[in-house]
Amino acid sequence: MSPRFARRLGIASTGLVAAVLCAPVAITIAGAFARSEWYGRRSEGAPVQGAAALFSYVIEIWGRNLLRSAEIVAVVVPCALLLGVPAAYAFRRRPFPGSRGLEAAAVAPLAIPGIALAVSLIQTAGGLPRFALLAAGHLVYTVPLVIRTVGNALEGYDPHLEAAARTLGAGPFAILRRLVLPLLGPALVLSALLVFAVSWGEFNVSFLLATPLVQTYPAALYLTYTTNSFPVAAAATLVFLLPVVPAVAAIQGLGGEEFHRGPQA
Amino acid sequence: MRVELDEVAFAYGGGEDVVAGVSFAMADGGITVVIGPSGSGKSTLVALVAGLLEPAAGRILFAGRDIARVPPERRGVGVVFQSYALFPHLSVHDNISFGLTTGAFGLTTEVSGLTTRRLRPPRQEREARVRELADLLGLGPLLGRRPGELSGGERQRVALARALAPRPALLLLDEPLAALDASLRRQLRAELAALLSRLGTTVLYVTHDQEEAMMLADHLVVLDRGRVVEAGAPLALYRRPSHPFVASFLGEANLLAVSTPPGGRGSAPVLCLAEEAGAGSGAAAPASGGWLLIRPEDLVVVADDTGTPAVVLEVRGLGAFDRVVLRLADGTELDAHLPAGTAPAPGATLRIAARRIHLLPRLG
Repeated sequence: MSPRFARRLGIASTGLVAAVLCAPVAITIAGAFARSEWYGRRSEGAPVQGAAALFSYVIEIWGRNLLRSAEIVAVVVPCALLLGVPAAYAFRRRPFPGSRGLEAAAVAPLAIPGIALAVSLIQTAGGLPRFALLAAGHLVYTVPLVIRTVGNALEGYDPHLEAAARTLGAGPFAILRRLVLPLLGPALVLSALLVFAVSWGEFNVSFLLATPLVQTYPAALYLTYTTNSFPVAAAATLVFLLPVVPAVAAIQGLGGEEFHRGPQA
Repeated sequence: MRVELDEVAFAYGGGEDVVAGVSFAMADGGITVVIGPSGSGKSTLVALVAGLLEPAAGRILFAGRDIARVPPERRGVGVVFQSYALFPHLSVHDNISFGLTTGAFGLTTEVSGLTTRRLRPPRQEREARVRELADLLGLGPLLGRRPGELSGGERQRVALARALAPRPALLLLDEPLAALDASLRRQLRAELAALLSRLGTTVLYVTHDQEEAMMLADHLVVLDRGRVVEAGAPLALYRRPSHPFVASFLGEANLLAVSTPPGGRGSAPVLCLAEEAGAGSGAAAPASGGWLLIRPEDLVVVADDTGTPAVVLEVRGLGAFDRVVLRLADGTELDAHLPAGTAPAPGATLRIAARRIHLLPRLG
């Protein structure tokens, strides 16, 4: 196989994968904006006309869920960082007997099915307010991401850097500002964005733990797809994607930067 | 600046003492080399003098003032770490000028006086200082690069420039050449020796490499299991150590046990002294017996039959010399370094003599 042919094949296959991945989004966007006779024909009762009316209808029926999701994310992102960053620091900088095993255990929940996790949460802490239970469920899936991301960033840096800065006259504040934040900053932002994206889109646990009053937006999306007409569901999906797209783009950008800088001296 | 360690001790988290009552003095402007095997507490000693660890006991005196409780950022000691610990997100220029922007500039002299007032030189002065160090260490073309883009030897020089920038009165180097490959290490060792003696800064240099220690030291301190075994001028320690550990750690050594029966005359393996050894080298055996030290390079083949007969057991040509294992009539085996290509095949008998011998008391 000639190099040129191999390259073209690579481009073609990448393009195909991209097309397959993008198609649902494209169909959704088309669905949300197309003037269709489906408008309002299934369950809404009254026809919905025009894109603006469609989106305000979505906000009207699912606004409360959107707010719930925002609240959950606002709690989960800082909590995941507060739990994950010190854990990552302990695992990588102050290893103790068995810390490798513990780190693996902390990452393992990623593989637990949402239903199993939801049931075990209800069994062990069912008395807690549902909002707290929901946040706990999200933390189980997001803290491992923080531990991994920040842990890998820590791994790349010489533990003597802080010592070197101190001998050069830097106090704790200068070390935080000139060393720790520039070095760990990208990893902290990256893990915050990952936590946001995962928590915002988390469906399994959210759906199973949902009550009529505490129901996140992805759970509402499921309902809208099963009960509303396609344009309404498509518009609701777009509303969901709105904050996710910039976050994913930022993750991509940061991840790329990390990749290009390579392992550090 | 004169630096003294007085009975300094340290242990990690309630364990055994890593540094156990270490005392020695560093002369102003002198190069003190601490040498010891891995695990002897060398790096801990550097961390204690730098202020990164606080001693459990003892005093560390800078120009007579105890600074053992002064934090590192106010001690103004330059440190070159074994891993170099260059800031990966900063350019070579910014790495070098780091210590000029924090107020560490001229701090040691301040600390050793009575004030710890910080000095932050103006921008122009900082730039001049960075330029000066870049010229001194040949880093001019690299100032815009990141540490990740440098070779091992270049990183080592950046680490040195960064440590020197704030004009520390004391420079600590923790195995600064250990991360480099052998040929580069040899080259940089010579450069470093020339540079350090030119700077006139008080230097504490830690290494496990005997050649490095002999080449750089004005004063050599041998450390083992957290204690100073022996200290002195490097050549004196090499030729006339008091401890068998020092004798065998500083280069290759033939150590022969010498026993003295009560009330009798001492006996040692029969070995002739070469003519140039002179009368003074044959010291009397200590009353309790001891060790006879003969360096392999001090054994020579003599042409006449005044020498001690020795059978050649093994010959290894190492290029610079032949490493030969010899056996004397009483069964004693000796290592000898003979001029390259002069060693006969195993089985042959030579007549040998020692140019220099040294008697160590038996300790413990």
